[in-house]
Amino acid sequence: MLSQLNAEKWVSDYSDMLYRFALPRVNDTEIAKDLVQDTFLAAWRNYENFKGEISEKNWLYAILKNKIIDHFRKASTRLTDSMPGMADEEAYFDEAQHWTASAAPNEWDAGESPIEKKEFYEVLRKCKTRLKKIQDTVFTLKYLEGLDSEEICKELNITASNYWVLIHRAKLQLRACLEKNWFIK
Amino acid sequence: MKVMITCQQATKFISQREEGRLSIGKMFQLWYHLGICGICKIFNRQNKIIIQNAPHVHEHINASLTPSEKETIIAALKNS
Repeated sequence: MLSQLNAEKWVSDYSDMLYRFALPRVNDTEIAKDLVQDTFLAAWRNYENFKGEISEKNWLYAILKNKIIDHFRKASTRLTDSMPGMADEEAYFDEAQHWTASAAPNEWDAGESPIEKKEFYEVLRKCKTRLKKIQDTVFTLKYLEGLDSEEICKELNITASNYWVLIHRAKLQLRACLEKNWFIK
Repeated sequence: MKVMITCQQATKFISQREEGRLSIGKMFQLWYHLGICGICKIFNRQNKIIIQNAPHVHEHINASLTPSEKETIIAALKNS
C-alpha cells in the first residue's frame, strides 16, 4: 500500500496548504505544525480508506478539520475557566444598553473595497489573536468551520447562554479592532 | 410585546438571526430597531463583512513550513 505513496511528494504538495489552513484557526504556530503532522500521519496510516470520491487534497483538509475540532474539544476544559461575563460588554454599552460614544461603530471607508486588500485579512487574523481564547474558539468554530451553535456547545461543553455571550462579545471586539487597525487611517 | 429594544439586544439578535433562531416577534423588533438606529445599522453591515470574509482568512496567508520541518514530517511518515 505504502509503496504507492511518496512521502516527499505528499509533504511538498500539501504541507504548506494545510499549515496555512490550521494557523488562523488555532493561532499558535507549534500547535498548527503538530496538527499538520498528525493529519499526514493519520492519512498515511489510513490510506486504504481513501476511496477517491473526493480529491486527495480535500480528503486531507477533512482530516485536518477533524483534528482541529478535536484540539478545541480537548482544550475546552481549560478555556471555559476564562469565561467572560456580561460585565465585559460594559465598555460597549451604557446603562441604558445603548452604544457608548467611544464604542459606537463608525462608517468604514466605502470608497474602496477592503476585501480586495490582502491587509484586511492580516488585520482580521491579528484581531482574532487578541480575543480571549474561548471567544476565538467559538468564533472560529462558528464562522471558519461553519458549525452551528448547538454543535459548538456540545463540542466545548458550554451552555447555549454562554455561547451567545461569547459570540456576541467576540464580534463586538473584532469589529472594534478592525475599525481601529484597518479602516480608520 | 415591547416594540423597542436596546442596542445591546439588537446586536445579539443579529447573531441569533444568522441561525434562524429569532422568533417572528424578535425579527420585527430587530427590523424596527435597525430602521431607527443608524449605529446598529452600521454594525449590521460591518458584521456581514466580517462573517462573510472570516472563512477565507487562510487563503491570504504566506506562512510556510521550513525545509527542516518538512523533513521531520517526511521522516515521521517513513517511520510510521
